[in-house]
Amino acid sequence: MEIQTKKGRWLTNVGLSLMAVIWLFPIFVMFKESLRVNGFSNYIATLQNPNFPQFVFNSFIVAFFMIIISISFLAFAAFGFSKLEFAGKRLLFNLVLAGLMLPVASLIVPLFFTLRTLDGLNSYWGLIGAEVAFFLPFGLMLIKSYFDELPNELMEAAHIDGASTFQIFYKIMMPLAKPALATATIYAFLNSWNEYLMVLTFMTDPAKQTVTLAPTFFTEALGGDPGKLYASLVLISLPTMVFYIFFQRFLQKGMTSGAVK
Amino acid sequence: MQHATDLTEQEPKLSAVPPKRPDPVKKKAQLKKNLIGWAFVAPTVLFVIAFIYYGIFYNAYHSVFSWDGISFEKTYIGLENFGRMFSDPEFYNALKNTGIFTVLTVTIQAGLGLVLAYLLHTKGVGRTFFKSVFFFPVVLSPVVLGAAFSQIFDFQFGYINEFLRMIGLDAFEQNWLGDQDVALYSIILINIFQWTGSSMIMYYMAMLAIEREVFEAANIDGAGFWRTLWSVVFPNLKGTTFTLTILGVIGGLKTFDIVWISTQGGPGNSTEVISTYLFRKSMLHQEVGYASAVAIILLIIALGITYFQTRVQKKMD
Repeated sequence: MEIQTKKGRWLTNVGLSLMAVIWLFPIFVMFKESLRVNGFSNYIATLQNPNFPQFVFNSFIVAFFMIIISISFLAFAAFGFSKLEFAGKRLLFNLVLAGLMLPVASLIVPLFFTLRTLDGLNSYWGLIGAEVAFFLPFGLMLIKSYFDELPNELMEAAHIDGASTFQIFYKIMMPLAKPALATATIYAFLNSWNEYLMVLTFMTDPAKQTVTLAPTFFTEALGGDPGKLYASLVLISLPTMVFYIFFQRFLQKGMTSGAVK
Repeated sequence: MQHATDLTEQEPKLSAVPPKRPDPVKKKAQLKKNLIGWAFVAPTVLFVIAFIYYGIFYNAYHSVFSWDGISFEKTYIGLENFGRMFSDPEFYNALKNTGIFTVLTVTIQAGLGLVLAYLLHTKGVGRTFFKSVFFFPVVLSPVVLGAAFSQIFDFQFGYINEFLRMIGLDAFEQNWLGDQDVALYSIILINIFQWTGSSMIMYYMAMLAIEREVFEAANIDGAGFWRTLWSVVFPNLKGTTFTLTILGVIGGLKTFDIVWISTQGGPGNSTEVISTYLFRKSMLHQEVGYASAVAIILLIIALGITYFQTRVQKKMD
């Protein structure tokens, strides 16, 4: 679309630039606060605090296994729901998809008390399991809508050539589905890295908490040293920022494909 | 088995009529198909059942008990929890705040997202850069956003109040997160800041699909820039607007992080939403039976929305 008048073009550019300044302002505030009083040594002090690497390590462990488990489950399920015919398909699909609607808070009681009886509190696997369960509905929608667009002819041809369903899945469909799996992986990482409520509830031991609880810990432990607090906030945002810079096209695509149905 | 094969052999005359009983060979093939299908979806389905559906059942069961979550003793009290909930002004307050939060975020986010997407469709410099900037907050953790905005909203040294003082508008100074009448709207602002980018992207992608001719026709008819947005583009994006509304309502019901990080539901209970109310009752006040009842009501609301969504979607298709 083209704007006809010179004034109109000028106004559009000014409007967009102003909005961009507003949108970048909170990020600017974070960086500025993180350099307060001691400059860059705030970062060094935060990194040298023995607790900080522990938070980061926990986050990576949880995110790693959360991604491995959910993406491998989802690859099978999305293929099954999209390309195979079996009894109860619609029912089972809707059963999983209904999970999209549920707020984590509404299941915090059962999750907490069940994990408590199973010794799953303050343990990686309890948190990983819960995160996987809440990611599966969204991930399924995302990957299945991609499979739906792959032509069935490929599968039928392979079937006539005598390939088994598993071979079709593994040798033909998986390589084709790579972009969808990549998108789902990025979303899974962001979900896990930014998860707050479940960590707050299940991980009472700071040694097991992930990065989203690090600011609370530092506020209490450092007793009002805002410079270091904001340095820790910038540091925990770095992985997501890097992800964003490299993968924002996947994220934007996922946003629309996931929301169509 | 033997009997079944006999039957098929004895009825060659009827071959033109579809067999009343399923052909055993086909039946076996169908069973195999089912088994393969189930095997593929089983891990996902079972996982969701184990965590989510078991949880719903657990809530339903405990909603009729009085239980503190610590003692072994649970007292059966029938529907008393529900009665208490519906006569608790704090429950209604949380519902009301969730409602305000949802309506404002859904409308403002969609409106702002629509305008931004439209502006990004014009030819000019830096459009990709602007798109990246507006979409960026989507990846930020609410913890980070909450901390950044606590500096911006601070009463004494916050950026907004200092700016207002600088330009001589002291009268508009607010205790943005500390005033009962303002705090909820400040949090809504943070939420809008984070999610407008996603509304923008959805509208942007949908606008790409609108035919060029539509724009050209509007241009020939003499419709101006904004007029075209309102009477040509927007009506063509009904599907996207509907999707955004549904996603926004679900998001509104789910809102917990940004509220808990910014105000923990305070000051007073002025920013308490349904999720923070639930968390407070179950994890801080140890009223587990009662919280289960609240969770059930929340589930019913969520299901109602899904039902409404599928009905409308069917009509639109």
